[in-house]
Amino acid sequence: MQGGAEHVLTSQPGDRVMVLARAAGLPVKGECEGSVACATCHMIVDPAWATRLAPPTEEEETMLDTVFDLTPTSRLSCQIRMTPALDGLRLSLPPA
Amino acid sequence: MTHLAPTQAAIAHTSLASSAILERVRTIAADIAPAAHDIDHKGVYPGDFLRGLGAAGAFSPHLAAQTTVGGRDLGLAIRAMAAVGASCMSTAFCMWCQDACGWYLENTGNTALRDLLQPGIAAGTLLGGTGLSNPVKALSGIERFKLRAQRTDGGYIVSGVLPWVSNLGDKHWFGTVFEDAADPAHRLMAMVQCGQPGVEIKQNARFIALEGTGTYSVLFRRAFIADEMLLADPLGDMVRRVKPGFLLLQAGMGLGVTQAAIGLMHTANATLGASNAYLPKQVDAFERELETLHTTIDGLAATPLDGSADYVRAVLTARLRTSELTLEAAQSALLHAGARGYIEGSATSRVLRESYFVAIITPSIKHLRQELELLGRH
Repeated sequence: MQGGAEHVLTSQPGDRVMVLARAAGLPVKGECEGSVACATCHMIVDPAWATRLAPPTEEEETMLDTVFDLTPTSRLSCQIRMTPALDGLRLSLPPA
Repeated sequence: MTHLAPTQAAIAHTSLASSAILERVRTIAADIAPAAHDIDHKGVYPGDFLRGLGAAGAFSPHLAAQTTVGGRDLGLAIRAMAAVGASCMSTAFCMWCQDACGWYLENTGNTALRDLLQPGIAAGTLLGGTGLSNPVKALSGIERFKLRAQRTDGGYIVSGVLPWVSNLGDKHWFGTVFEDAADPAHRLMAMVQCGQPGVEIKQNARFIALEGTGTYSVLFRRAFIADEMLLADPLGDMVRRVKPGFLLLQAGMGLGVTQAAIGLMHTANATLGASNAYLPKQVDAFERELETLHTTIDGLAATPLDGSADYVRAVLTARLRTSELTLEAAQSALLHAGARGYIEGSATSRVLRESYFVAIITPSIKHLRQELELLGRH
């Protein structure tokens, strides 16, 4: 969800959310290509889905500490890989 | 015969003291050459070489209070970088970081901070870098500021992350810019030390070259930046003022890599000259273009604080030309060398990878072209 607009993205198992969002033209930079070095792929997971994701690693937690607009369900979208169980996953972008 | 030194025309006007610095730098560059592969590929940081270059006077010519050649000479700093870049661009890149760090201190109104840090940066006893990639892009409207600050007693509390800052290590310094969270129009620039409370460096990514350049993500977690560390508050025209020198110093890397590529073409021609004669561009053409570019950059380097639109346009054009020539020369070096240059670990393959960095470091070719386009409209 971006600025109130909802985008429905399709994926294959193993796809990273960051890559899907960029391919859809959403403002997700992902400058470090998923090496957990920049936090420019910050997204907010719908609370209903947050506990269904694998928890963030210590490395991801460390990087999330630097994020402005941090929420309890903030994640780096490069670290979320799609699985069949995540069909319907809902995320939003932080404020611009 | 070696082709690793800057062209004679480029150094002909230098004073004796300048020549002495360049000779010392070239001696160190020759020592760096055998280590270039390990610096580039294995991530060996050339800290001892950098300290040696500082002692040789390579980091001081562009700093009025530190120079030993009778006046500020940005061109000499560029030529020293080019001499090293012909052996190892990773080390030349670290030199640029160090030179840029000194240049920020050169242009601050905070004389106490300059007096505190600039002598060490100039001598190479303190090492440092530049966290200006994001600010330069943010001020051009290309991306958002990555660091935000909140005013507190005696300074600012800063949070955020800078993805790539180079020539860093424990206790190294760098200059960067923050945005005031309470007033995004208020920006400020400061010196920051790695390892100070709230400032952590992390090395998560691996690059295709330049592994030994001390390149890290810098995490700011409510880091306190004291007023004494501010280079400019408000930022005002600080970035605009330092930018021509910042860009011209960068050219040293490209001039060096181009010289390295020319050297590789000569080496290839020694055994493959008959067939290389059919390549569309020959080594003498690259040598002439490099000499012309050296001369242009030397001329521009004489007035780094000229803020006129014509001057800025000329600097941007020269910096763009440096990237283009570097790419072209490195590609031609591979064409000259053929399969032997395509072997992993060959100097030709390293120079090719190095050349791409000259083209993508901020400001990259696309951003230089964008800035020139915008200047053309005004």
